[in-house]
Amino acid sequence: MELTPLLAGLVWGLALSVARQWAEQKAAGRADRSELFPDRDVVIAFIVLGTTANVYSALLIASGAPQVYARPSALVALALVTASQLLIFLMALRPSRLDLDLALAASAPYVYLAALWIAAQALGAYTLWLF
Amino acid sequence: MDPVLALMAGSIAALIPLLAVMYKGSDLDYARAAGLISSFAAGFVFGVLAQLWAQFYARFTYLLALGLMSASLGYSWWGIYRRWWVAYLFAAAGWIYLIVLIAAARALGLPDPFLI
Repeated sequence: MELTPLLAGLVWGLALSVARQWAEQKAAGRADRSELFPDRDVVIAFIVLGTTANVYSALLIASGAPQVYARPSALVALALVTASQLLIFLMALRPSRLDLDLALAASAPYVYLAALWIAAQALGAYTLWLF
Repeated sequence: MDPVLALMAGSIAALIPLLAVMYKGSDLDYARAAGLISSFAAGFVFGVLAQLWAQFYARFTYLLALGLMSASLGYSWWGIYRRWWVAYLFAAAGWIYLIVLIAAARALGLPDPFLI
């Protein structure tokens, strides 16, 4: 574990969830926010934890530069993490009823990383970047 | 000592109560904004002090400073929660203690502010 990328991700995630509160207030106006966005508590937790995980894993993957950029599996992981962070931006700045579906799609890089990890365990490989 | 780490500690200390206040939908008035600034400063100084652990963990004044800064952070959050500005006076106790330590170290010509 490295402290600096972890704290950087946490700060960024907290800032995004504050932005989400502001966007919710703007979208709801005088209406009841918890009725309009019934899963806002889960969405906040997802924005904070997901952003922390995304920033941390992006910095972790990129810390293998420049050799890691020769591995397509690492490039796919970086692309998936970036796409996941874009989805979290969308969740933070445009609250909607599709929040939980976006959160599910934003978990894709971790499914991919788990599959890579299981394959690496099965193959007895020393690196996660198999291809 | 890494100032970026201390800045991030201060940001976390200020963003958590801001998020809680905005989640509950309460309004941000001057008492709460002052508390946010106060908790950012307390978190920043706490982050600076925490990184000096390996050098000073055996000094009583250093441990007292760590405890007082965490009490300052607690009072700042309590002041935000209750909108009670007197809490910030209690939070200032940690500041006053640190300033007195630094002034004493300057006056005595010591290399660091943690005397004993």
